[in-house]
Amino acid sequence: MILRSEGLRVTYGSTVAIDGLSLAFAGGRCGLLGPNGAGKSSFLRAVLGLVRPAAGKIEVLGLDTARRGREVRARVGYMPERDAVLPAANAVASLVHLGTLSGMPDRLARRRAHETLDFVGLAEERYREVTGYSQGMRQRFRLAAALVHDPDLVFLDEPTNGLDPAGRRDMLDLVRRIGGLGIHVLLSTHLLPDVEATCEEVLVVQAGTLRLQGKIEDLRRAARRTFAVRLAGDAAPFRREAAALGLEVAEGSRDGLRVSAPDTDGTALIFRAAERSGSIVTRLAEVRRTLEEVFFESLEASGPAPSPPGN
Amino acid sequence: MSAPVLEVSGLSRWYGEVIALSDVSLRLGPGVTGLLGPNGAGKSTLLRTVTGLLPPSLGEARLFGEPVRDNPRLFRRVGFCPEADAFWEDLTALEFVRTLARLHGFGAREARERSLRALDRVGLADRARKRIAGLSHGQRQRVKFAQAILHDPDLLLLDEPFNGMDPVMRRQTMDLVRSLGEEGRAVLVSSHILYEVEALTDRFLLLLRGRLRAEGGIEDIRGVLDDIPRRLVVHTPDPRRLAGAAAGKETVLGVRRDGASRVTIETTRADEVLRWLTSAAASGEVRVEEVFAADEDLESLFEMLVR
Amino acid sequence: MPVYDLAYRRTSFDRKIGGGLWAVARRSLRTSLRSRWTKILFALGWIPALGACAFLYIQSGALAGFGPPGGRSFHFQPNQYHLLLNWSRFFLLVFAVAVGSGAIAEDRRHYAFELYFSRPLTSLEYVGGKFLALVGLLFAITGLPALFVWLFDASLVPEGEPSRFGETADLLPRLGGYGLVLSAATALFVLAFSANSRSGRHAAIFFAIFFVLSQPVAEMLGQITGSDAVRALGYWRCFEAISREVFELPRGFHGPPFRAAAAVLLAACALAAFALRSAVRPTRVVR
Repeated sequence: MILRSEGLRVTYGSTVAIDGLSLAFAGGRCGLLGPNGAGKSSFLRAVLGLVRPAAGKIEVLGLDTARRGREVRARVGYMPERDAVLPAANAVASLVHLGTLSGMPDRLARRRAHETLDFVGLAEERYREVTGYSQGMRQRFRLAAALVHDPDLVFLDEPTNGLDPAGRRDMLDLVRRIGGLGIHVLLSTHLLPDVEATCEEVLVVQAGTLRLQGKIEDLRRAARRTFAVRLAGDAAPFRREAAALGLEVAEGSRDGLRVSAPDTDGTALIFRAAERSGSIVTRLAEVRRTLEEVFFESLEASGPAPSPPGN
Repeated sequence: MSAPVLEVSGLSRWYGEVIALSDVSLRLGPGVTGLLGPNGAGKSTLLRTVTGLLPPSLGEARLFGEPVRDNPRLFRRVGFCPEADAFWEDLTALEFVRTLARLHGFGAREARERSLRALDRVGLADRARKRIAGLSHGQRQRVKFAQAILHDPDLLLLDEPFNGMDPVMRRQTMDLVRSLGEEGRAVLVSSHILYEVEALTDRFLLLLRGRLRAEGGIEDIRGVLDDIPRRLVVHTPDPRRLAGAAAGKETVLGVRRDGASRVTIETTRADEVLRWLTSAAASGEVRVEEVFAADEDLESLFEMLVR
Repeated sequence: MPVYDLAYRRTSFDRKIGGGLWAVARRSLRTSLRSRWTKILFALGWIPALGACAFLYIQSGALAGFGPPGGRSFHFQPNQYHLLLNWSRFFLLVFAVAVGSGAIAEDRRHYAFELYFSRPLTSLEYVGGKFLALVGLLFAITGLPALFVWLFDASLVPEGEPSRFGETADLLPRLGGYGLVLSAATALFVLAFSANSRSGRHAAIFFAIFFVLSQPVAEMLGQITGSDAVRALGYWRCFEAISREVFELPRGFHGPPFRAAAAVLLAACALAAFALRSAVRPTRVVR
């Protein structure tokens, strides 16, 4: 078990940030979602062993964070959301220092610094001071800082924040590659499509408790098979032919008519209806629930949550 | 009103050697329009020139038919929500918005009423009396938003308005933007998050290296880029059969099998390929689970235009 | 011909936890010494000591044909060391501000804490490392020059006479000890300001104002209350009193008693340590 928490409770004075959180993460790439004030930051702090739980416990890679927090931090990588750099140091020197602080021998840290910079695509700029980097480069530097000590698990906090579409694509690509290397990834973000593009699993947290956990594919699968069909040609004749073939056609949205079809050979029927009505199918896609819908449903499902602090 | 809300002609702006905008001409009408572009494309410069914060080096900008130059009263009809996070931290949200309302020229009572209404509209009614320093990033964004709409502007300029918002707030704010557009205001939303812009509007402006690269709706732009072949993606349980059948066709330039069930067809005549596909699937010659154009979403279009 | 995979490699190694203090100290030292100004100020800081040595050399007529015939023994008394260190103390303030005001402030400004404390580094190790580096540098322009002068002085004897190391051995702990106290206390104060400021420049300004003002204000209070002990609240007088005690000199005009100065110093250090501790908190990391 990569990460497990039992009845975790985190308080700051009288404010309860996490209230009885129990979850288990077996590995892979998982998205951590939740509204602001849901307790995600406190959860990350607890995972890193930076705050002591008021009750319950949390184990990362088999280590109790309350008692062996330093070892946990040596094996875990954290990519902060804030624009964090080490002042007055170039990328290589920064990473060597950070690697050393994570317990690496000096020589290994030096080698790893270069390797990690290659991996994130900062090889050309590695001898420049990090304070002079552009936003996209700084973000990649932070990712490198999370990886330099070869962690088994990384936490990425809003990794695509402020990146333009190309930068976002590159970053998500890197995240997928990290997962492919066998490093477990916990991605905390507000951008649901980022999670859809990189993760297999999600955890939804709200008001300090777990609302939902599961594989994205499973959560998105709807009960019946519905398709969005766009046609070049008149809709009316298509509807007639479709009805004749036993398909249900409802009005759709921008991506076309909603057609409900039987599981086997359903699509062939749609094409047949189109051909018979003299239309061409220009787009056919199965309608699955988006992660966004899953997310919002999970927030409402367990009943209205108490208003979280500071939100 | 016959004059467009915003009209820009031959607008150029440079800083020493660096050119931020180059000969940009465009018009904006009511409804929501997206402003896109990679980093450094000139989006912020355009917004700042339009709001009069920056004088152009060449060309001009006109709001409601009148030149922006030396015309401060035009800005009563413009609301600007900048990207930068700059507040007087010690004020409460209400005080902040009310101060800006007074600066717009409203009397004390009206300023207060409008401020409360604006804060209510952005969903901060219960937090109006909290200090800004104690608000989360997303809430601060909403305060910025409130000050941009309190004077009922006809033109709204939003620079990365959803930054830092969680999905719940994001959805609410997007609904708000949509309704503002439906009310007949002209709303220009500058954002990097393409799927959000796509959800808000069909129309967008794309800036690239300071120049206007494209404007209009996705379909129009796609239609104009005729010389670029279209890519159709087909999901099928038997990709080899489909790939083989497609490869022989005249208008098919290339066929690729990616993965266990996916075939990508590159063609100059997508309509012909689709016609063939429809009858082939209808007759059972091939089995098709999904078909769509690979480049019809904003993300791929963006990539293509920006290359 | 084999083609090698240059991609990211997983590794396995023994993770060494602890020892972060030395890494932080080393890095802090390296960063400080890189700056050109540090090197210049460092050189300037040694000038009085080197000047003192030159003076000794000339005075003791070690140069044949130069100076009175027969040679004359001239050696520094504790009073001279006291004066030398007085000058050092003045210069120390400039040096400490230049070198140390950004030590923690700049890290904070760039959110470096996020990168540091998500690692097995405790706040004690972090502050300890910065402290160690700064004390080392400050000692190197206070205690060290003074010790160097002592060494020079003790070994400069006319031919035939035994060296003076034995006689003046008691100066060694005094110079070293006082230098250490001076450096450590100043380092603590500078770091406390640095940790609580938004940037190195802010810290420098606050520190400078505070210490420049502390003396006049203390003098005024001393005047008003008629008590000399109160004057120990001023940076200058406080260390002056301690220095006089260490070198067995009489109290100066309206000088505060040693006990008062020592008490003020300890209290100030405790305050600074507390300010440091509350400013550097790993729990504030992660948004």
